[in-house]
Amino acid sequence: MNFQQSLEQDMLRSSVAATFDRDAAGRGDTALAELGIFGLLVAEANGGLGLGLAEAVVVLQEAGRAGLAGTLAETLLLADTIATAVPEQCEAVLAGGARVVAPLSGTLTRANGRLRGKVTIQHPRAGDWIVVGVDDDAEIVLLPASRFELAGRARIEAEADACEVNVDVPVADARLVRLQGFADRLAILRCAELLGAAEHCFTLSVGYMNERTQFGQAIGANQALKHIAADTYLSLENLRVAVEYAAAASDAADREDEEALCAAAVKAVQVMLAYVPNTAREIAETAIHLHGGIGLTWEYPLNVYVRRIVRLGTALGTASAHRLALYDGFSRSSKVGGKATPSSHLPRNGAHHDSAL
Amino acid sequence: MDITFTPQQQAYREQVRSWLAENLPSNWTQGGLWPAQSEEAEQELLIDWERRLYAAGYSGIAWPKDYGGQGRDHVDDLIVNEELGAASAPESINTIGRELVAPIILSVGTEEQKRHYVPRILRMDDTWCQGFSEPNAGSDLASIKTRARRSGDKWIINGQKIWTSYAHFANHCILLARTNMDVSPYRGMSLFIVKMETPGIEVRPIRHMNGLRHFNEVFFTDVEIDDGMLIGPLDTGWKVAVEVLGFERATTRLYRQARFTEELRALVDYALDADDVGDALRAEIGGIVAELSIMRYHNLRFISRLSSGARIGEEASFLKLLWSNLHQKIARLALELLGPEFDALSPIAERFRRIYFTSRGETIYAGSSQIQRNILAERVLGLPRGERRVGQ
Ligand SMILES: Cc1cc2nc3c(=O)[nH]c(=O)nc-3n(C[C@H](O)[C@H](O)[C@H](O)COP(=O)(O)OP(=O)(O)OC[C@H]3O[C@@H](n4cnc5c(N)ncnc54)[C@H](O)[C@@H]3O)c2cc1C
Repeated sequence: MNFQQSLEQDMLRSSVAATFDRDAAGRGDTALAELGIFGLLVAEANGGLGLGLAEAVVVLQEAGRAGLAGTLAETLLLADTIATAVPEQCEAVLAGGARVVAPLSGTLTRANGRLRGKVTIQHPRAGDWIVVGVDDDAEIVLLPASRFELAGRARIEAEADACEVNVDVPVADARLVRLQGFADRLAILRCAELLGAAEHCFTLSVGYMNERTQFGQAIGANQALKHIAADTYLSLENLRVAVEYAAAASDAADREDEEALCAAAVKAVQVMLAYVPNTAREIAETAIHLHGGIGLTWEYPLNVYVRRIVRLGTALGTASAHRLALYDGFSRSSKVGGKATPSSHLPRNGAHHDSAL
Repeated sequence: MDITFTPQQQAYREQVRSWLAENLPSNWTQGGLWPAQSEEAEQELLIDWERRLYAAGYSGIAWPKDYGGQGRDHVDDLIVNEELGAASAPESINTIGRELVAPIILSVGTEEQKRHYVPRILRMDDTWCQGFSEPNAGSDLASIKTRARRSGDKWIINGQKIWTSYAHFANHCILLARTNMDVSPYRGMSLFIVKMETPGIEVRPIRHMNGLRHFNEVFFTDVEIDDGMLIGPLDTGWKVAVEVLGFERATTRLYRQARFTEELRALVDYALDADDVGDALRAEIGGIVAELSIMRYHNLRFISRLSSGARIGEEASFLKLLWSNLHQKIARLALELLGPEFDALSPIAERFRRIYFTSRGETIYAGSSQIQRNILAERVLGLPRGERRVGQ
């Protein structure tokens, strides 16, 4: 047991952070490719680094902090699948040239030989493939992005169009891939992005509290604000361990397909989803408040982060649904045994019991 | 990053678990003895329990063997704690000895003090109380007035302490007293070992809101103690206490997380029996489960950092905020679930009556929530220093 970042992970963090810093304009693909980031989750046999979600979390957290995540989460997650299925694409994958886009919300159902469903996609033209979960999350389908009619949605983020896509395709035409736990993995990386974005909001806040003076002193000298800052610090530390534990638990279940580890990984994602999206949003809201009027302007950098946090967070399901799922797991493991309500995030192995984990 | 335990560690966990299953006192119910008995009978049972725990090798896990400890690592310490918590084993009534005195002595005590006092704490030969707070020095501990004056090779102590938990049965006290009036208040304090049987000490009980005799006032009138009872260098008592406490904030009562989880489980079992858990309540309980899990992740992180030799600093204050709040949430949930049965003469009601009233103190003692937030804001986040003590 060693639940802390390794030296290698620390180094990865600093090089990724430096890359994002240099490239605030968002054209960091070449630099990221040089670091091997696009091959982070690609098997070594395919020329990748063969690393795990713990490392991917580091990358997405830094991307979230820099406000540059875009479609990086799903692109990293699908890289190995594409490199394996289409070997001639392998080089492009590693260079960051094979981008995929996963919907913010929505899945497809399979019935009567067709795949159907309505999904909401941000950056619809940012990738060559749209990747959507099918039914119970054991399978995904890769759809060529160019093929669909897009219906507009309200713009939450200034730089990103969101569109509705009505999918209705014959199963025979679709490229279906078994990729168990894709939804959970994507959730982990999106929560890592939320963590980075929330951290940045907090950094801006603490900076502003030291810098802005009113009544002849830094506003941060007021205990009312200090205590808000201290509570926010606690929330951020909670966010951090929730995301990192979910990633570590998922990696552990991948290494060893053991029932207890799989159950722990499922529960860790529920914990994360019950806590992270709402709390990240609260941290962003607090940041606006701590800035006074300037925090509410379109131009101040907070705006971009707040919108991103709201957008991503609302797409991750209601906190109460995730809390109910946790309740079910907990009560089922108690002596009396609870009455289950169906939970959205199914265990990888059908195993579902509460351990000390 | 690795969250799994080795087969040896898992085997150790099993071993602790089965020892506990066989050895837990059967009439102990977290609400005390059931059927209820006198406080003295409870005390005796608890002392006996701690002796048996030590005899079986399950206390002082990460303390050095030379001083009676088990010499095992921090992960094993975590494992034992988690099993104690999950089994709802009785809590120590020598927490001051275990969490404050032994760590302070191990870090700044003389070799003689280490060899004498640390094993005696483990064997429950000595139980300790902590004489820090005074009527006018609570959060602002540096304004204590109790003085230790040198007289030949002795120290003469005069003053008054308050809220001194366990002083009514402890045979030793770790005392914070002023030893130097000529330096800043923080610098002129020292720590002493005082035997409670020393002439000039008077203990007056204060009854805790939970109904138990928990804390006391302690009066010191010309109490004479030997020079060898000073702990650490003269005038550095504050620094020592703060440093050790910071470290301890991250490592003591690691069992809390598992224990709170068991409390929640007992409540859920009760509610399921009564069959009245609506969706709103389920979601609330699920939210607490999430926070309990996060609390465990923090434990794992701190234990990992300690294992790799990292220094734990003031950031550990957030743990105090986290657990005290979370426990009060569970206690409030108990009120809601027990409802009109809160006054039932049943083990579960008695248990949660105790937990509810006791947990109210948890955001006050060991540095109130406000003090923890000040520490985080000023020392960790670097915000400007605010309150200063006015008028010395
Ligand atoms: C159950 C229990 C057991 C205890 N056992 C012991 C023991 O064994 N030995 C011992 O020495 N002491 C013990 N204490 C005392 C404990 O350490 C003090 O109660 C604590 O330090 C608070 O001091 P106080 O009670 O004087 O409250 P005060 O310091 O007067 O605080 C009153 C309120 O004011 C707030 N406050 C104080 N200063 C500030 C500030 N600067 N900014 C914002 N808010 C502030 C506090 O948070 C609190 O809400 C115990 C206390 C309890 C409740």
